[in-house]
Amino acid sequence: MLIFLLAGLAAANAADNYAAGETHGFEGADGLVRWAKENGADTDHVELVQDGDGMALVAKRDFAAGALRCGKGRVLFRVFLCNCLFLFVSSKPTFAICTMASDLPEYGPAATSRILLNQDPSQKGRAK
Amino acid sequence: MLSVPAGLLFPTRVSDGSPVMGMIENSTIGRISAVCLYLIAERHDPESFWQPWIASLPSESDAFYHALSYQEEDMVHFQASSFRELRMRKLANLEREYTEQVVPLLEKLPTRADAQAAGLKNLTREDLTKEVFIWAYSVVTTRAIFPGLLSDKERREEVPLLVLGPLTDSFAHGRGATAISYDAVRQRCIFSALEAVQRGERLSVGIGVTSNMELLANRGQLFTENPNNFVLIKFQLDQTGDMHAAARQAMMTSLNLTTPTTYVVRKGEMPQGLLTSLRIQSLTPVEFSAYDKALNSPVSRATVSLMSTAKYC
Repeated sequence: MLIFLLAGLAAANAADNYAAGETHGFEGADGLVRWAKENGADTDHVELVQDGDGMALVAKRDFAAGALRCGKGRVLFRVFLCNCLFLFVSSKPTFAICTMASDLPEYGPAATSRILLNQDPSQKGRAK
Repeated sequence: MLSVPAGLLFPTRVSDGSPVMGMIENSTIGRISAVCLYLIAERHDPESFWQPWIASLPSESDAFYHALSYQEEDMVHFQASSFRELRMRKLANLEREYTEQVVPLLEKLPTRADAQAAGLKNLTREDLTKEVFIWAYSVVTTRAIFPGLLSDKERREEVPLLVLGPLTDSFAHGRGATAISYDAVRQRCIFSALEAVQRGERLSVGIGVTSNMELLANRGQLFTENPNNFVLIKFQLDQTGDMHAAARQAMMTSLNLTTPTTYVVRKGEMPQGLLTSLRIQSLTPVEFSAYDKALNSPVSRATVSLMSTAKYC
């Protein structure tokens, strides 16, 4: 893990142009968020609030369950595309894919490739 | 919901002059202890990139809520709990880690007198005390996210073993409502909602299969309605003053049940072995003669149900 993080460190330091010692003016929850944002954090949807002696991270807006990075629309399109490809390469019924598509938050590139191989994403590596 | 670059995950971007890399090189120090040393060194360096975050951390003089910081008067409340023993063991392990792993590395640091004589502001041997190490340990263990503890649903593909830094350390630890993933190309740690979250609601990450007692001892916190809480129930067959004691013992043996045995009982699930043992213990003399056949067959839900029904007929 340390190696993993230190590899990140090397990359971060190489591209990094922060001024050493620039630590003033970042006090409190707002200051910390501003500092994190200036250093690349995407904080648009969260807020740091004072919570007793500590700080708590709270949502700045409502989030739907299974909010994905790439958005539901893109995932749906990807599943649709996979379905078409599957129909093209196989004459088997595609009920299984329709069922799996209802579980969108679980979909990732690995699951997509398993769909193409006609495998159940819940059974990793096990071909039907 | 939130994404942070690798550069905001501690201990990346450590100071150029940090002595820790040289200290831990070729040593057998553990990962968590190494992160603690980095934290101590960065806190000591006023020029550290991490100062805005470190300034937000509690100090040794604050009540930093880790179970290791509890005083004897606090521990009075845990008289009948095995938490007392668990905490003592934890504290002893941590003290041993400091003595056996950290102290030998101190030779690589200058003494305070040498540093002052040379006009250096480096971390010195005297700065790295056991109390400071315990502070760092409490900061790391109470604030970091350990994705390895999370379920596959909460952890997507390759993720760092430890996520620590500003913002990420302010997640509530409890309900697994957030998934963690790591974009190796963009070098960002990404947090996504697994459950619907309302505006203003506190964001939370999971704690894995960890009971409140383990949480309190290891991370200094509790999780309300923790589904992983458990109690230990010791079962011992009463073998005195009962003419059927030998028969009960034979039944236990035939079912591969040992006595005494300690069972772990969690909310919503009763160990089959404990249920069966309790049923055998509570068999009445009438049941012994009337339901011999049922008892000779393996105990199942059906036979136990049959016996229970017959008892009240």
